[in-house]
Amino acid sequence: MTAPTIIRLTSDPLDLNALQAAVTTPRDGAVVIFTGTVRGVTGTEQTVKLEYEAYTEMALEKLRQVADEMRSRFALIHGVALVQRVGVMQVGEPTAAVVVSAGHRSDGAFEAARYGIDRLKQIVPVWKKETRPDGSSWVEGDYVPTRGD
Amino acid sequence: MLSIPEADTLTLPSSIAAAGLVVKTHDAFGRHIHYLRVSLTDRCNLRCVYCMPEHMVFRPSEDLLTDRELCTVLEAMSSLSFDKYRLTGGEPTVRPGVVEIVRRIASLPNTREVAMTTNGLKLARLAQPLKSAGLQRVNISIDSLDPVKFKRTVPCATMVIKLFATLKDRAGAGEITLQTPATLTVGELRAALAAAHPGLSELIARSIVSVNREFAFNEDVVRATDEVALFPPVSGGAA
Repeated sequence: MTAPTIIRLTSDPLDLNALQAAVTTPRDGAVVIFTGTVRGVTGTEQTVKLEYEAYTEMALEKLRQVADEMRSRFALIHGVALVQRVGVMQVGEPTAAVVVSAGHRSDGAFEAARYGIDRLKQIVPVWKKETRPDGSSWVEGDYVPTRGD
Repeated sequence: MLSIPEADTLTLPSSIAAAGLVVKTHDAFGRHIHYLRVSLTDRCNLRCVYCMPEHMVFRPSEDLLTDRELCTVLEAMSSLSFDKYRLTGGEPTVRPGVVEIVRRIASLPNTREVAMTTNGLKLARLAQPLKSAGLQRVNISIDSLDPVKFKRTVPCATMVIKLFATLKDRAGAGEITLQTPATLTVGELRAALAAAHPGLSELIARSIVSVNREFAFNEDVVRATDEVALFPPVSGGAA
């Protein structure tokens, strides 16, 4: 039985219930859902909103690569969903979701979800522009890809 | 390779001149030789099929005469009554100090004419400074006015480069185009982009290049027809 893989860039709000249903198969007894969220307060800094932009064609290919890497590292997991939202998001809204299903929670579901979001942030070409009360600027990452990424 | 002594030991012609002697150079038939062609570089911004392979290996720049060494040689030639100079290459305009070199030649005591042979690609920006520096004559080499024939001879192409995030905002456009050889390395592409967009050069240096949706590195070869993008380190997901 092939497990579902969902790779998606969307400007629509993320429907976590629908994603959970989509990756869950009758063999699954555990589903881990990670979501990144627009944080409104970082220390003393305020964020009003975030705007996400993607290099769509490459982002879809890199999301698929992340899913493949998750499966090769965590062989017991079943369904995988990697979804990145683009466009403007307000504080509290989910920006990205990584959903992993497995037979049991000890089958690597947590670790695979953690790996998935970390890897997404390294190699999937998506950028965010942060708007604060005093203006907006692009947030620059610090991961420099190497050969094989 | 031309190797010359240190500048201050190359004093023979000027001491001769100081002694009031006029020294002229002649060939075996007694003709006065006073016209000097100077190749400023072996590099070129085109890859014409009859001239350069697509993956030309250029001479390292430390093997070339520095601007100062070149001027020392030219001063010596001037003192031997050379009065007409033609700058060639390679493509002479890709040498960074070309305007200053023209100025120095034009100000040599005997100079009557300074000319250049060029493919013309950089003249839009350089013509006025070169003229002001003393360049009097330009030969522009154009292999064909027929675009199809020209492309066959000069396999250069228009590369489209996608831009994202900060780069897109700073350039004011989601993509830019660049005239490039049919193939070049990612490192050469970065250099060409920085030269075409000096205001972005610092940003370009720390940006990531992708070719056909894969990360690409300076030594990788990119074709003008590839899907090429330039972007800052990614910041997606949730911090």
